[in-house]
Amino acid sequence: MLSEIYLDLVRLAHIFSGILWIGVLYFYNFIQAIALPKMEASARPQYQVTILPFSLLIFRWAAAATLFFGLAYIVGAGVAESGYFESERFQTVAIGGILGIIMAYNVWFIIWPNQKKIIAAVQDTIDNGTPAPAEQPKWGRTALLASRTNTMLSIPMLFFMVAARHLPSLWS
Amino acid sequence: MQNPLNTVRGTLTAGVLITVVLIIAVRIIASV
Repeated sequence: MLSEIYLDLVRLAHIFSGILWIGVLYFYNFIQAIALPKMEASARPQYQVTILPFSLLIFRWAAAATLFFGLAYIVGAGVAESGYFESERFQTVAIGGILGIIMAYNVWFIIWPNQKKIIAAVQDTIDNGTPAPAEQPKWGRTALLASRTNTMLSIPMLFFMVAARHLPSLWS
Repeated sequence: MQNPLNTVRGTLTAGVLITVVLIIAVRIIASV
């Protein structure tokens, strides 16, 4: 019974942090990417040093939490059920998990480091009038491509995550 | 500049295509 309660709670935490993460990802790709260029150019730096850093804070820690609780679930299920790692349920969820790990890597090692540099540069411009560094468009482009890749990967990731439980006939 | 809505459409289409390819791959692996 204790292991079931553990798995229930870890699953809940995984789903909640996952929705938070992918929710912010979809906000970036489906709302910000379209609406931000329409914002008056003089107002954009304010957005980049207020809303952007805070949303990125939620974004990257939600990604880390999702990964952590996902792994905690798999370890728990492996301990609680003999043969879990040989099961079709595990095979299916592992496809989603691999995609999720690639996405979390993109968040922490591509999107965040580049956005951090952009935010620092914009802040420097606001505080000291320093002109934007020449590499800034490149940082933005790299972060954008990683973000767009994650949006693409989120579709098969979500399918296989859900299919593990809801599509048992996938392997038959 | 490219219309951002076209980019969104392209991203979603690519995501769906990856999903379809993976589903077909799993089904083929499962059937052999």
